[in-house]
Amino acid sequence: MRRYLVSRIAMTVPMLFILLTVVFLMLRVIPGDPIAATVGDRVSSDELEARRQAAGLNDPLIVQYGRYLLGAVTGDFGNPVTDRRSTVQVIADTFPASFELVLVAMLVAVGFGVAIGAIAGRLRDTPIDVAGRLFGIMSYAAPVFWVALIAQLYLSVGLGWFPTGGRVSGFDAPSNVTGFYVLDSLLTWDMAALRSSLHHLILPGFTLGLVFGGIFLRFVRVNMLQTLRADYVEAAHARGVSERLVVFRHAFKNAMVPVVTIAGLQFALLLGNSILTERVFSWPGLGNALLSFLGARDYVGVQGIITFYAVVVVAISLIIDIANAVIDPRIRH
Amino acid sequence: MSARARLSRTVAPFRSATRTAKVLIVIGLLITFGFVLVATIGPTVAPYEATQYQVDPEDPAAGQLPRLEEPSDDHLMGTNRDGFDVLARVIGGARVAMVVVLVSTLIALLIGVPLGLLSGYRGGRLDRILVTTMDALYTFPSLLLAIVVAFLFGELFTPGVASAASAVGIVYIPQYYRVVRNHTLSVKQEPFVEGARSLGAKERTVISRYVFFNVVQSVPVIFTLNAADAVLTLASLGFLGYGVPPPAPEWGFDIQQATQDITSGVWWTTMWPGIAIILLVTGFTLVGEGLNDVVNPLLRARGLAGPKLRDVRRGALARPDAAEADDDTGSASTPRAEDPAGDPGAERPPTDGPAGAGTPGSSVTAAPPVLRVNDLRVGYRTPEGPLWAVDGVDLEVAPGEALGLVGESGCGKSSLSRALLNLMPPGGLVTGQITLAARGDGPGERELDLVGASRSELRSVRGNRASLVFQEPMTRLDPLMRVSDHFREAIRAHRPDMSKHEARELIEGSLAQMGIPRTRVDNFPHEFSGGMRQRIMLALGIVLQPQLVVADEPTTSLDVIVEAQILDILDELRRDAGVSLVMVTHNLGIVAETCDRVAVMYAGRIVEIGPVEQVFNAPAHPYTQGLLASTISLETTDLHSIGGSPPDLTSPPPGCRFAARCPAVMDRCTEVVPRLTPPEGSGRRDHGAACLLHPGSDPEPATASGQDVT
Ligand code: SF4
Repeated sequence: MRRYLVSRIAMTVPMLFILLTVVFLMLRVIPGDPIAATVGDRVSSDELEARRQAAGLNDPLIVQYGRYLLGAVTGDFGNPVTDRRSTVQVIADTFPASFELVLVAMLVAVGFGVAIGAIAGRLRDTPIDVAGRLFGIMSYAAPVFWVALIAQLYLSVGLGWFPTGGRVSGFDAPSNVTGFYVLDSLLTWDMAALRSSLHHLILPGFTLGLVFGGIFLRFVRVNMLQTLRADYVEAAHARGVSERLVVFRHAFKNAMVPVVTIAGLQFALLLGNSILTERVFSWPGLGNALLSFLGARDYVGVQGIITFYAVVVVAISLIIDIANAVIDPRIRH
Repeated sequence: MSARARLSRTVAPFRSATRTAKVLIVIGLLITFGFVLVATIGPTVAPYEATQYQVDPEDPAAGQLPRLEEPSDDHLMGTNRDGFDVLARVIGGARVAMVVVLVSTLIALLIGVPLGLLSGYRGGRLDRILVTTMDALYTFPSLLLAIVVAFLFGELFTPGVASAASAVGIVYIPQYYRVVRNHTLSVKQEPFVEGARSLGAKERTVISRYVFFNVVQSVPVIFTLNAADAVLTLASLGFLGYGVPPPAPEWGFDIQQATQDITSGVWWTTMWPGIAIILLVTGFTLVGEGLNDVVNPLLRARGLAGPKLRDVRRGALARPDAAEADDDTGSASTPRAEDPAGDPGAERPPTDGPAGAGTPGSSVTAAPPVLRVNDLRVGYRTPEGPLWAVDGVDLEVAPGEALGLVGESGCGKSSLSRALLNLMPPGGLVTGQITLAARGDGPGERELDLVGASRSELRSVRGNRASLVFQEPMTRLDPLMRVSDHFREAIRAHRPDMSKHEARELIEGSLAQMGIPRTRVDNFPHEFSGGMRQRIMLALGIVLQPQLVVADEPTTSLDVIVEAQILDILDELRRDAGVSLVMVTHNLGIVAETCDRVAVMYAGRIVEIGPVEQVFNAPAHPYTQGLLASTISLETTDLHSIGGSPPDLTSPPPGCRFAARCPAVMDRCTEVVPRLTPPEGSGRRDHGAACLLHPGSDPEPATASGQDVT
């Protein structure tokens, strides 16, 4: 296990390196520089030059590249031009909101995707299976933002059951500990904040989660079909193990192994797509921060946030592989 | 195990095109072509303009079309806040979406394919760098990637269809790259590339051509699945303001514009473009998944497959030379004329009495049989009706006796072995009687007919009073479960009162008996060799001291030394513990070594049965004679001395099923079904053969006399 861990961690280095290089190069192909792009028409050319010098933009590209890599590794993602905060501060202020949203969405997606997928696989070609499959395909086909808008239209505006946006209403925000409102309100035992933040989480979390649940559903279903006819399942039947145990302990458990891998990939996708949900529900998350940097053409800010996403993605894939090794004894060797 | 059989087992089962699947494909095609039609001619026939302000034909004085008007006869989907007809925008959006799908795919192909070729062809460091880069791009959230690229292209050039399509297309480069690279890598190792080079052909040309033909096959699948994704990505970009810029009609952008309408309860500006997206993506997805099934050659080879006909399917897929596949399809369409009772004068033994000595196939000993099988038929439900893989078999196995069950691939012996525990896949049918003798007086130990038994009765028998030891020890143990837990599972199912400590003792003891050290009982299956796993399987089969062990090719995939060990263990078990054994094999050598009696199966029926020495020394049935003549140890199931192959059991021939291959065939052989009867001159009632060469075998001897016998 330890040898596996070491080699797997070593593998993340080239991956991270390449991702960071791609990000750096992408944001350097734009002519001009970030300072001119954002404030160029508002300040004198002398001041522009001074700010450029201060930001190190006059250094040779290779020096900037080295500084960028070093910064990314040491947790310094630069200072945006249009925001007084450092990128790290922006991330610290907004990422917990995104992460909280994505976690809820993930729970929803896995919960209902795995449940329906497993049942559909077990009851293959019955009406339940057909309905489940169709639901899987349709929910995959529905755009995240559209589902969110329709939910908002009917459940928030129409029925008034849920707020149309934001993380909490009025002054209900819990005092900041971790930035995760649900956690913070529990830590400070602030029931009003807890109720409000959960209430605000439901619609964004469920609309994002349902769409991705379709992917889990289809995946789990196919896996169940496969493991239900595995040789070891037939062998378990031949040992007189009860149907329920065969399905749960053998078929379902084995069907869940690849789901962990998929969950990892989905997590990255959810993180990307949460930008749409954040937009619809005015969710003060990292996605909205990126959108505002993009809107202001603040390359430094964009680069910083994208870099952070890259680090998160690499970290997730590492965590997934380790989780896989813990679950599946075959990988450890 | 042959690669093909392994593939069929892992890939084929869940790819079968069921009727629902076909319906879904057709629906997908209809939707997709509908959208293609709308995209091509829709904008020209639409009643309103999608991008230009126009005067309301109903009310020219009012100037432009009314804004935010509800759906009506004039505007089927209403109008939006800019005074455009929503239907016209939706139709225009279809064209934009189609164009972006095509252009983005082209971009992904143009970049992904050459990179894949280069990477696979050159290999080395370039390959490693490209692979890591593509992996990195692939794991990066695709929407974020598309947004950043769209933003950059918007900064560099004027935003438009081209920049949006590039942003969407970049996401799919890694997939095309991967397919092409893998094909290139595999073709490089093909001998014909070497051959082409020695003939002076350019290696690169050969590789490109080969890769081209292979990639062309998988591109449609990737394309349709990516197209579904591309529609969504484009709409997401449009929604965020980085897609195709206005005034071009684009669904995502239109939905973004409609967000302002939501608070006033206006639904139609959001609803219709969204439904268009869902429909188109569903269409592409259905077609892509359907193509995926069609492109898969395994599926085509198998043709129509019924649900879960695992055994039938394996039989159909694997050629006779795949030694491990010996399942079969049979048919019950011919009424059975044979009577298993041999001598017309001998009475069939009553089912509850001791074995009658007059029945061929009865035990040599006088002890009541542990297992008695009467008129057993095993079938599978298929779209064409039931197929009978085992078609009327009678057997008896005495305590401590070993019965060998031999025959070619597809003769029904594997189906029979599973049916002995009534262990059938859904859709499988078992008829007849399988009587397991009482083991004691307890409620779970009584005599039981396994065909009529309830599910819970069956469960209590399996692994407890009768157990099945499979071939392929590598796949029979759950990879996620410790070996000891496999035992614990069986113990808990059948001996719920046993204490943890006792169970542990039992597990360690029975594994130690098989030579598995105590220190390893908690290991996982993959930590054992094939031979050890087969011994573990055996230990699992006998840990609860069953009356009967059915072993299906227990040594097929093992080397000779391990095979000898396994056979020794089985032998000991039988002699010391009095366990009855049914040994299914195609290896006559194993039968000669370990069995008391042997039953030879052909096309779902027993054609000869008797003591091993007698059957092997004086085979009475032409098929048995052929089997023995071809080779004593039947390593391959290919019978060189018997021409032809077993009959197609979907329409079995009337009369003797061996007639088409029999060197001694007579006219009458194709007319009547021979009965299993003691061969002439054997003087032994426990030796039987089903062949008209032996007078008792003809069920209608009166009409038979006077018929020409060639
Ligand atoms: S019955 Fe006829 S065809 Fe069949 S084995 Fe005997 S001789 Fe051959």
